[in-house]
Amino acid sequence: MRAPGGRLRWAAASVSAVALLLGGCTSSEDPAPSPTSDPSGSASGGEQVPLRSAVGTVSGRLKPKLSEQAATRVGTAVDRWFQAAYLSGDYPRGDFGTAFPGFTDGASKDARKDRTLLTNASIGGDVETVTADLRQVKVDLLAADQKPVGATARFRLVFTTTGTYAKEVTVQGRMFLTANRAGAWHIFGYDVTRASK
Amino acid sequence: MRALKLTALLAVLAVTMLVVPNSSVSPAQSLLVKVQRASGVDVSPDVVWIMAIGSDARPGQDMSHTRGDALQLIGINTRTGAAADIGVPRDSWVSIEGHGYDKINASLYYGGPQLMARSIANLIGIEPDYVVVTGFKGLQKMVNGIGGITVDNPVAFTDSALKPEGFKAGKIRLRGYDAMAFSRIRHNLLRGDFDRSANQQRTLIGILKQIRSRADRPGFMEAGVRSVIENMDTDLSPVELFRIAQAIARVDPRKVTHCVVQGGIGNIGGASVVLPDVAMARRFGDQARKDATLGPC
Repeated sequence: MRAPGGRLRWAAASVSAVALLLGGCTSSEDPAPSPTSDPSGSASGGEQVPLRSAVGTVSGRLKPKLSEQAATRVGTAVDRWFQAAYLSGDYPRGDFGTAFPGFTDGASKDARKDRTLLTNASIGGDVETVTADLRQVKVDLLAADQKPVGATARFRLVFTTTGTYAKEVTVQGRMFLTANRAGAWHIFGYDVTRASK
Repeated sequence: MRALKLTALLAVLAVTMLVVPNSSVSPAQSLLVKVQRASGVDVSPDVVWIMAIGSDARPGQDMSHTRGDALQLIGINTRTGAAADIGVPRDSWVSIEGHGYDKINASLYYGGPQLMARSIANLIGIEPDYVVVTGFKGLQKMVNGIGGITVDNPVAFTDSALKPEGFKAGKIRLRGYDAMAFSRIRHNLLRGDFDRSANQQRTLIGILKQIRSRADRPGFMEAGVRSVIENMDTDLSPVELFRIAQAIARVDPRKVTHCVVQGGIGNIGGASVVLPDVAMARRFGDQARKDATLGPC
C-alpha cells in the first residue's frame, strides 16, 4: 500500500527498460583488496589485523578518487558493525544491545531477530577473547550524477575465540548500503552466512 | 533465518576420509562445518505494491499515456520474501474517474500512471505505491539481459503471427522475443484474456527466479539499477530504486502466490469486454493486503 504521506511513484521504461537488474556493464573489476587506514580500536584479544577495503565494480560514472573514498567509507561503516557485533567489548560478554551502528531502524530491527548470526550473542558468555584474523570488504558501487548513492559490500570476517567456546569463526556475505546527501552510509539490508570450526 | 545444509557430496567425502584406515595415527583431516544464513532488507512499508504495466506503445509513443496490454499488481513482503501477483484482464470494464465506464487499460491513456493506480485501487482495494511501465522491446531486452527465463506452461499453444511453431506444454526456456510472445498471445488460448494474464504471471515468476539466481554476482544489482536510471522515465530517486531492487531480489519464488481476476464476457458498444468479478477482486485484495500472500484463487 502507499506509504504514509507518500505519493504514487512511477516509472516508464523505454527500450532498454527495466533491463532491470541486469545485463548492464560495469566499469571496474575486482582489484585485490589493499589495506586501508584502520580507525577502529583493538579487539578483546589484542591488536587487530588491518581492515582491507577495496573498490569492486562501479556502475555509473564516478571518478576513481571518489570511488576509492566511497569504498573506504563503506568499509568503515561495515567495520563498525564488525567491531560492535563481534570483535570489541569485554568478553565474556552478554550485552549486544549496540551491535548495529549505522543500520537503518528497519534493518536494525531485522538484525536483532537474527542476532545469533549477526552478533556473538549466542556464544559471548563462553568466550574469553576474540582475535580478528581477517577483516575484508569489497565494495560494488552505484553512482548517479557522478556521486556514489548505493553500494553492496561483499565482506569476509574471520576471528578466533578462546575460552569454553574456542573456535575459528567466519562471517561473510553482503551488506547493502545507501548514502545520504551528507555522504554518510547506512546499512539497510544484509545477506550473511556464519560458520565455525 | 535459514540453515544451509552441506551438500551430500561433501558429507560423503568427509565421512570417507574419516573412515579410510590411515597408516599412521593422526588427527582427522576433515571437518564438518555448519553454515547458517540470515538476510533482510529494510524498505518501507513492509509490503510494497507495484503496478506493472506492459504497454502497447509503438516506437516514439509516450508509454505513460498509451493503453496497457498487461496489468499485474504485485505485492512484495520485504520481511518474509513472499509476493502476491494479482492479474487484471486488460479489457475489464470499469468506472474510470472522470471518464465514465471504459476498459481499465484506457486509464493509462486518459490519466497516466496516477489514474491507472486509482482504477486498480477501485477494483482491487489496494492502491499501488509504484507504477512501472514497460514496452515490448523493454521486456525482450530485460529477459535477454538476465540470460532468458524458464516458465511452466500448462497448455501448448500457437499464434500464426507471433509464434507459428508454438509453445510446448511443460517447462520451457524462453529468450526475450519468446517471453514477449508468450505474454501477449491470447487468441488461441481457451480462456483468452484470463489465460493470457496467467501466462504473464508465469513470465514474471520466471524473471524473479532468474534475478534471484544472479543477485549475488558482483555488481549485478548496481548495473541493473544504473540501467533503470538511464533508461526509465521515473520520479524515483536512485536511492529508492536501489532499495526497491534489493527488495525484489529477496523475493522467494517458492513464496509467490498468484491469481487472475475472473469475470464474464460482454459486448458493449460493439466491443468485446470483460465484466470483472468485483467481489473476487476485492477478496484478492483483502487476502494479500497485509502480507502479500493469496489464498486459493
